[in-house]
Amino acid sequence: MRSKITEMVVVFAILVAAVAMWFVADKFPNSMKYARIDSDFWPKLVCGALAVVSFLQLLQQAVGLRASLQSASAGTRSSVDPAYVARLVLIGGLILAYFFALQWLGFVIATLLFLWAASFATPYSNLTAKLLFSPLFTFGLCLFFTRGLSLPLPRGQGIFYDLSLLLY
Amino acid sequence: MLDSYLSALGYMASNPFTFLLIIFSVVWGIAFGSIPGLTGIVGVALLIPFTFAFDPIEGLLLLGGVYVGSTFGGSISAILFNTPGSPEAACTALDGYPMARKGQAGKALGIALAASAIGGIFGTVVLMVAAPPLARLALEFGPPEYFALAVLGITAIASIGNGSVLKALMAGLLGLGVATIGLDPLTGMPRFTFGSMMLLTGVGFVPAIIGIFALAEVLQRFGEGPQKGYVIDDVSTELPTIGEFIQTRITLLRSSVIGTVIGALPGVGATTAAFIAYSEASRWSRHPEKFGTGVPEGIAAPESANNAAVGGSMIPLLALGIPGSATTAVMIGGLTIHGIIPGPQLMQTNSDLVYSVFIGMMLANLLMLLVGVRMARYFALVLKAPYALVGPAIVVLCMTGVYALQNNVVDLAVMLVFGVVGFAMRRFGFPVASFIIGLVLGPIAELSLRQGLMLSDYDVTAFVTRPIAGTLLLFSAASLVYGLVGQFLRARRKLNGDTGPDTSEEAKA
Amino acid sequence: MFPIQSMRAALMVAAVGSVLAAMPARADDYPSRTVEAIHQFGPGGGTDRFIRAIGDPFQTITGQTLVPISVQGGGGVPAAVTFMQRPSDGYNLMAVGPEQVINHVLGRMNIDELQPIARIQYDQGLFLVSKDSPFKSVEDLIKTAREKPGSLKVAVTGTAGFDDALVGLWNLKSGAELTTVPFSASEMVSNTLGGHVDLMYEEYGPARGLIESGDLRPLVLFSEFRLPVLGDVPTAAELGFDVTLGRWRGFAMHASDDEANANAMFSILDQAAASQSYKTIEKESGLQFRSKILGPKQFKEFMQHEVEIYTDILKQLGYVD
Repeated sequence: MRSKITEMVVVFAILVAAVAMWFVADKFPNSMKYARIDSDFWPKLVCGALAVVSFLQLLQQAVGLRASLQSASAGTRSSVDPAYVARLVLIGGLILAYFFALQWLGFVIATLLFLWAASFATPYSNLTAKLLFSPLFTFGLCLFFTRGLSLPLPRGQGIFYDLSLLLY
Repeated sequence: MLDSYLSALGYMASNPFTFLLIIFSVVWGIAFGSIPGLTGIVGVALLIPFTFAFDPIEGLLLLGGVYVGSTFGGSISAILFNTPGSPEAACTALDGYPMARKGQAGKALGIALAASAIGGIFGTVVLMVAAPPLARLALEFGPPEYFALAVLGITAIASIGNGSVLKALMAGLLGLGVATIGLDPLTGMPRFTFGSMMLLTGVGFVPAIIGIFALAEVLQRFGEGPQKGYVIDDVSTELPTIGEFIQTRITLLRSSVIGTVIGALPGVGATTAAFIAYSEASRWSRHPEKFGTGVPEGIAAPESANNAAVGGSMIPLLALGIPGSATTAVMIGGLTIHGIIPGPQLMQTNSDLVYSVFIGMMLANLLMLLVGVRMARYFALVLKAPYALVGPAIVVLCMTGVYALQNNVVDLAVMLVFGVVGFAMRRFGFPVASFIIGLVLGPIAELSLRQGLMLSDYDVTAFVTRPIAGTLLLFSAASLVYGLVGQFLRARRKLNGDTGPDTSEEAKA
Repeated sequence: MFPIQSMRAALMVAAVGSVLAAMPARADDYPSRTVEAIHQFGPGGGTDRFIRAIGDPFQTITGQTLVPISVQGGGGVPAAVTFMQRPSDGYNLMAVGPEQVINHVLGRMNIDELQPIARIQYDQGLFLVSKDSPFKSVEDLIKTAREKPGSLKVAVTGTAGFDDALVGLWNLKSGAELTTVPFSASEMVSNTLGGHVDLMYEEYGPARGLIESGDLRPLVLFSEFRLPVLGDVPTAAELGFDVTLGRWRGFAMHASDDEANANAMFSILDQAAASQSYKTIEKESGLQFRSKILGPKQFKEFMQHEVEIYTDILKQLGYVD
C-alpha cells in the first residue's frame, strides 16, 4: 500500500521535472544558424514525451490503487526494516564523505580513512585483516595508477596537495 | 591472397616475439578491461609510446590484442561484481550478474567467454574476407541511417523487462533526457548545466553506468547486511555445454552479424553494438519477459556483438583509413607515428601488416579462450574474500578509475548521483536496461536527426525514402506497435483475472 | 581545544618543512619532478599524441617525464577550469590551441591568465571533396556556392570551434557561402566519401591517405604558400581570399608562474622539438610545413593577433556581440 503511494509520488515528481525541463529548454539561447533544429529541439521532444508517458503511468497507478483499495486485502506489508535503512544511510554517508575527502585530503589519506571506516562499519571479525587491508590496498592502487600507468589521482587542496606531491 | 597470408605467417614465424606480444596484450587487455573506468581506449593509448620501440606490425599486433582482450575483460567484473569494467560490458551485467547470483557465476563467465570468442572470430573472418565491400556499405550510412539505427534500438526499450511498458518507456525517455545534458553537439550552447562549467562535458556514460550498476549494488549489499543468503561461491569457469550452445546459436549468429555491421560504421562502436544486439535478442526471444533475470541469451548477445564489433571496426580502418570506433581512432595515431598512412592503399602497400593483423586478431581471440578461463578464475577468488573488505574496495576502484578517465570531479558526482538513481530505479521497478539504452543511443539519435534534417534542407521525407533508413524505421514502427498491442492484451487479461495491475512483482526485479 | 589546535599547527609546520625540503625552488635544477600538461582532448587524440611525442625527447633532456592529463569535452572549458585550480609552480602546463582563443572570445575563459611558453605545431587544412563530386576545382565550388548561398554543406569536426570559425571566415571573405554540419572526425570522412555531404574540411595529415589514393580530392588549401606535396592545389590567398588560419598547438603556464621557469621550460621544449625523434613524428603527421617554433614573446604576440582575428569572425557570425 505505502510502496504504491511512494511510487506514485516518484512518478509525479518525474512528471513535474519533465514539464519544468521543457520550460528550461524553452529558455535556451537561440542560434540563427540552426534556427529550425535549435538546442531546444530534441530536449523538448524528449521532455514532452516523458511528461505524457508519466501522466499515463500516473493514471494507470491511480486506477490500480483504487482497485486495490476496493479489494480489502490490500494490506501488503511493506514495513521497511529500520536496520536496513540505518545501514544504507551509513554506507551512503561514508561514500559521500569519501567523495568530499578525495577533493580536500587527496587520494591517499581519504582512501586510507574510507577503507578503515567502511570495513569497521560492517560486522566482520578479522581485525588484522581490517587493519592491514586499507594501507596495503591504498598504496598498491596508488603505485599502480601513478607509477604504472602515469594516470593522475586527486591530490587534495592546500597543504594536502603538497603532501600528495611527495608521493605522486 | 593466400600468398599474402603465407608471407605474413612467415613473418610471424620468423619473429616469435610477436606471439609473446599477443599473449601479453591479451592478458593486459583483459586485466585493463576488468577494472572499472580503465577502458580499452585508455589501455591502448597508454601502450602507444611503447610501440615506438617496435616495428609497425608488432605495434599493431600489441594494440589489436589489447583491444580484443579489453572488450571481453569488462564482462568479468560485470558478471562477478555487477561492476562493468568497460562500457562495452554494461549490457552484460544486465543478465550476467543475475545469473551469477543464482549460483551460476561459472556458467555466466563461460557463456560470456565463449560468446566473446565466437563473436570475435566471426568479426575477424568477415574482416578477412569482406573488408572492402563492407567498408563501401558502411559509406552508404549517412545521418538518416544512423538515426534509423538508433530508433531501432530505442523502440526495443518497450519490449525489455517484465514490467509495464509505460515504466520502461519512462526509464528510456529519462535516459534520452539525461543524455542531452552538457554542450549541444550542434550549436555549442550549454544545456541543463545550470551554470556549472565542469558539467559542460555532460553526463559521461562510464560514470553513469558504474554508478547505476556498481554503486547501487554496493548500497544494496550493505543495506541487506551480513546475510549469507546470496554469496556467489561457484567460481569455476566452465564453457557451456554443446547443448546449451546450440540453444543460443541463433542469438550468437544474429548478434555477431549486428556487431560486425555496427562496428564497421564509423563513430559507433562496441557499446552500441552490444545494446542493439541485446534488444534484438529480447525482441526475437520467445520469452522476452525473462530478460534481466539471468538468461543465457542475455549474456551471449552483447558479448558476441561487442567482440564482433572489434573486427568490424577494423574494417573501415584497414580498408579506408577511417576508424570504426574510438579505440581504432587511437590505433590510427599509433600507425601514423610509424610512418604508415592509413588509407585505401594500405592493403596493397602494407599487405604484410594487414595480413599479420588478421592472423594476430584470430590468435588473440583463440588465446582469449585459454587465458580468459584462467584469469576469470583468479578474479573469482576475490569473491571468497569478505564483503566488508571487497565492497569498500570496489567503491575505491570505481572512484579512482572514473576520476582517472577524465580527471573531472563532476564525473565522480555523476557516478554518486547515478548510484542513487540506479538504486531507486530497481526499488520502484523501472528497468535499468531501458534507461541505459536511452543514454547510449540518445546522442546518436539526436545528432543524426538534426544532421539529417540539415542535409535534406528540413525535408522529413528524406528519412523514409532512403532504402536502408526507411526499412529500419518501418521495422521499428511495426515492432513498437506489435509490442504495445501485446502489452495491452496482456494487461486486459490481467485486469480480467483476479489481480490488479501489478507493481509489486516487478519491484523485485 | 587548545592542544588539538597546536598539534595541527605542528603537523602543518612539519608537513610544510618536509615539502620544502623535498622541492627546492631554485630554478637551476628545474624541472626536478614530473611535469603535467592538461589538455581537452581524449587519450590517444591528436593533442594527447603531440604531448607524448614531445614527452619522449623531454625525458631524454631533463630526466623527468612530461605527462598528458586529459580533461575531455565541454569545448575545453572543464580543462581550463581544472588547469586554473592547479598551483602555479612551474609543473603544470596547459596544451593550448585555437580552442582557447575561441573560448576567450566567447567569454568562457580568460586567456590573459595564461603565460604562453612555446608554439610548436602549426597545421594547415584543406577543403576536400569525394572523387565522385561534380566539383572538379575550387572555381566550380565557388560558382555553385555563390549561386545558391548556403545550399552546399561542408562537414566539419567540433562544435562552434576552430573549423566553424574557418568556414565562417571563408564565407565572409569569398562570399561563397557554405553551411557547416558538425560530425565526429571519422563520420565526417565517411559522410564525404559516401556523398551525404558536399565537402569537408580537414588538416593535411589525417587526410593524406585518402588524398594519395584518390578518394578525396583537395580543392583549396589554407596557408600562406602551397604545399610541396600538393603543388597543384591553390591556396585561398591566391584566389584573393585572405584565409590562412590553421590549427596550432603549444604550451602555456599560469600567468603568475615564475618567468625564469617559463624561459627554462621554453629552452627545453625548443630542444625537444628539434630532436630527431620528434622531427620524425612531425613529418609522419604532415606537420612539417608551417611548424616554426615560437618563444614566449612571439607566441604571446601570435595569440594576441589570433584573438583579434577570431573576435572579428565570431562577431560577424553572430556568436558574440
